[in-house]
Amino acid sequence: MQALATFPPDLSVTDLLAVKLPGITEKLSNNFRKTKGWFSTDLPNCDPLTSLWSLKSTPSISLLRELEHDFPQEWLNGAKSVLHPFNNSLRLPLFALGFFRKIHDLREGQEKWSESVEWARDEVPEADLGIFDTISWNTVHSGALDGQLDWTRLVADEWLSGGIIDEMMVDIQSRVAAIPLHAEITVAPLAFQRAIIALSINKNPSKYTLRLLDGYKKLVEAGKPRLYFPLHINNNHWIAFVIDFARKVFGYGDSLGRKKSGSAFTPHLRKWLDAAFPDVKFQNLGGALLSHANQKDYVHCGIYTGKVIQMRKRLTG
Amino acid sequence: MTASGEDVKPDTSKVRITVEFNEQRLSFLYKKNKPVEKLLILFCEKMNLDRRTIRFNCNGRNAEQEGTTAESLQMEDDDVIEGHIFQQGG
Repeated sequence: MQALATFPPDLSVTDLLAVKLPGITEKLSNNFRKTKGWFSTDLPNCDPLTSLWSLKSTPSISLLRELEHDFPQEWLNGAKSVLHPFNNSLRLPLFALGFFRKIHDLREGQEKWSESVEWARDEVPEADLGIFDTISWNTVHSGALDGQLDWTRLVADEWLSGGIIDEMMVDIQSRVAAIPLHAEITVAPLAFQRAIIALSINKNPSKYTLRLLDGYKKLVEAGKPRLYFPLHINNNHWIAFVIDFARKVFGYGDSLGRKKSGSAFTPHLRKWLDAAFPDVKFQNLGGALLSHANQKDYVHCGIYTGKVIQMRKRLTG
Repeated sequence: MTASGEDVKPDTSKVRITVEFNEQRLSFLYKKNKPVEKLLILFCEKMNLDRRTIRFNCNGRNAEQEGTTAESLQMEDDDVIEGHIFQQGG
């Protein structure tokens, strides 16, 4: 428990799963059902680490959200401690709320990694489960958008996140770059979509946005006329997008088979194309441009998007 | 301490940092060797955003890694930490 005092994100998955965490408090006395009952103007009077880790349960996530919401006002009202939910005489330090939040994070990590380990055990019998002794449960790397916990989405039939999509694109681009036959292709990460939108809606786009888009323009001019990238649409769906600068067309492939999926993005894209390539008139071929398979569910569009870009499907438009 | 054994003082000078999400912007004068996470939390509070739903990066690098500072992000005056909504899809 003491090793967990700082909640290290580099704790191995195996070690995380072995930790016995407090449960969720289901039954609270009336006093603790409202957030006001949790705060006290008394000073903390117990050893925080021992007291917090000895709790058998912590508040539910909904109650915790209310506590976090009310905390600033309670603090201004003079709150100096949090009441111990199971011992009326004890007062916990205010950072107990942060502790409760971390416990929820760890619990979520346990649930997700547990599913992943189960999946590996059942579906990949030849897999070396010892790998879970060596990978950390939620380290955030400088090149990635999210922590390692995000990878559990791949085996939990969950929607893929931007972090995973980006890792896919980086991997595909590195493979593309190694094949001379594909010298005309560039695969961009999600930063490209963000930069296109930022350029379109911001009066003063950042230096990074301008530098990034200028970099892609230079790649086109240097003889890489096909640019593939993932597009996040409707806040819930991934599709594969391509700009073919040689044929002066752009379009996408949507694994749900829809033909107007990219319509919200294309006005932003046109602004960049018109500014960066003023002498070229691009045609929007919409969802007819990239051939693709159709997903049979409402989960795996991220996989289809990665696969369409990985296979660099021929342009069908 | 460098490889040659010399003591190196941390760079405590300040840098002007802008944090941005959509068209909301806040600028801070901030010590180069302090974790930027405090800025991100403050930004979200001021803009009434849920910190857990926003991802921040600077010049294409993740600004959320534990202990990330303006120095480690190689930030210069007027550099921008850009926020975007956590994206997921199916």
